[in-house]
Amino acid sequence: MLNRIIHTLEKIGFGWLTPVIRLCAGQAPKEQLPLIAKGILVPILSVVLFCLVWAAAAPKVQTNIGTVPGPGEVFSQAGQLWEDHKEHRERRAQHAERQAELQVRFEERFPDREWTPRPFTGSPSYMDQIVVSLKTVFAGFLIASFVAIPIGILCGMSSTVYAGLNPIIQILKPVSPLAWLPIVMILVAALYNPANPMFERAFLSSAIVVALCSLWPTLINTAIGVSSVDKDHLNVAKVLKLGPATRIWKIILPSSLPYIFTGLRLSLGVGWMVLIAAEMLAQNPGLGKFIWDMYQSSSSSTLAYIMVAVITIGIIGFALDRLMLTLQNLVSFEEKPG
Amino acid sequence: MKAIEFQNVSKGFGPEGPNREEVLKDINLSVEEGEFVAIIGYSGSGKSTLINLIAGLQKPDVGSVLFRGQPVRDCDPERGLVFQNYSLLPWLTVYGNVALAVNSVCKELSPKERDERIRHYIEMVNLSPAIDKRPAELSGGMRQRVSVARALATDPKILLLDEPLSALDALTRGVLQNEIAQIWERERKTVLLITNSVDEGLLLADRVIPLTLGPGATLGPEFVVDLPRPRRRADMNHNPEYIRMRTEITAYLSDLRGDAGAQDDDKLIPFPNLQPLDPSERSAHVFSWVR
Ligand SMILES: Nc1ncnc2c1ncn2[C@@H]1O[C@H](COP(=O)(O)OP(=O)(O)OP(=O)(O)O)[C@@H](O)[C@H]1O
Ligand SMILES: [Mg+2]
Repeated sequence: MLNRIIHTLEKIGFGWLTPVIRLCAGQAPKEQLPLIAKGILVPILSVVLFCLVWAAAAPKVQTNIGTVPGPGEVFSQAGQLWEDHKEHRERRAQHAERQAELQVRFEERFPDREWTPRPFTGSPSYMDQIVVSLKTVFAGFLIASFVAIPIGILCGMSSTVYAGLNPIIQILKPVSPLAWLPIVMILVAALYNPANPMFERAFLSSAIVVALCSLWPTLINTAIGVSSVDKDHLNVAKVLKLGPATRIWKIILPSSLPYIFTGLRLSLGVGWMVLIAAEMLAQNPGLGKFIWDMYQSSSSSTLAYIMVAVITIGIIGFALDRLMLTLQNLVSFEEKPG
Repeated sequence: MKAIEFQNVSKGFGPEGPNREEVLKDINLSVEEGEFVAIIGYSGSGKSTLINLIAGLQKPDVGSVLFRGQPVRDCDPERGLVFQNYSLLPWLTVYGNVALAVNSVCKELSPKERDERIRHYIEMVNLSPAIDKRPAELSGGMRQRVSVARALATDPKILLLDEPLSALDALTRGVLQNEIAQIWERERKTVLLITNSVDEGLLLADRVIPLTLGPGATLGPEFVVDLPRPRRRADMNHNPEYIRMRTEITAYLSDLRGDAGAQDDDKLIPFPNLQPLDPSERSAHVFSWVR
């Protein structure tokens, strides 16, 4: 039971909690204390130290919009954003209520006419922007996966395909998102003109740029995984005369799944990094646009807001990486159960 | 028509030319329909290469390999192969591994019949309690039994067994030898067995054929085993004919190596206890650079 919990924690990257659990269970308490000190206390101390240095150094730096904020200011600014968000939600709820009332009255007066509700016009709150960023990065990540995994499988299965695609891959891989974005925006504007657009153009452009920059690790890892499938397993497929679909589905994919997930994890990391730049330029209402707007407004709290965003981006990026790590561990079938 | 025929087959590895490593040379073998033939030889002499040729995993350089009169071009499930290193798929359970074979070969059966068949063969190798386990959770012998069940479950026309029991302890080995003998007597399939044990060959086969030492290994003189069936291990130990053949084959094999002193079967062929490749080692390698 205990071992199972610990095993699970380690799988999802919370291995540092292990000594605490062992301590609570009374397993060799003497040995756990140094482990706890190293795994939990030291990281906390270093964060505190970092904040102290930051707090001491920040007021010494003057900029044209005031001094650089210390951790205290940034923290209170974060609280401010949270308050704004709550207020924003309230206003939104009020708006929805009013619209509902209006609809009832409207339908009483004009039973034969169609009611069109008026949309809420307030600017999005910080939380809304986080949600938009997450949606965008996942949209881009999905596009990237759908493109990269099949191409990766092809490259891994046929060295001819790989030889053909390799120069293209190598040349496109290092291109910066900022170089892609103008092209993508122009193309999206030219090609995506439906009457009732399901997506904002800015959203689409950002997602595509994220996809373009993040598909390479998945593609390359998939290709490596597929090309390094155990020869014995391929011999099984040969002896059983499996068709191509079964062979890919039952042998090649499961066997290269650990590689693919390693690639996906790297891709999501790249995607999240690229996203902020893409959002800034494409004006997709996410964290990137938030930073850009703050920069443009240049008030005394600009720097504090941007730092809140920086920390948010860091924490979310870390959480995404942990999520992918967990998935990656879940698919590494080969690991012996603990 | 012969079930299996090798006509002047040679096979080497590596680049063409004088540096090519010749493994098999001038192999001539014919196996009758329903016959049980054992090939015995030292490690590295080319036994697996020989069986891969008839399985279709490898092509001969010279000569031809025929199955029921037709040249072998490709693999086919009608030639069921039990791999020396099991080759189970680590992400599938015992059931899944057998099911992969049954589902891809016995397409004409209904899902219920397939399920019954899968369970039947798993039961036959006494693995029902482990049916939902993955290969990493099984012992070496259990893995080997899954591998045997997988080959039998597709009801192949001939069975190619590449040292199917060599990684097992003596007790389990005896049990499975009986199992194989029973299956063979019941179904009278043609069986080509690769083995490193003279006893195993004599207990199971109609003919025992030694493979000489490589490089350029070829088949030695055959030993026809005329012992009555069923051959029970306990009876055989007192059977003069059995003892005579055992001594003869052992002497032939030790002559090949030139060490005449060896008497005991176990001492004669000091085979390494073959360990299967442990797939779990691969994952450690995969992740070491991303963590
Ligand atoms: N794919 C290959 N490429 C190059 N050389 C090979 C290949 N397969 C086998 N060989 C060589 O052929 C020789 C015979 O190998 P084989 O696997 O047939 O031996 P074996 O008799 O089955 O041995 P064991 O009893 O240890 O399984 C060995 O020297 C080996 O190095
Ligand atoms: Mg072998």
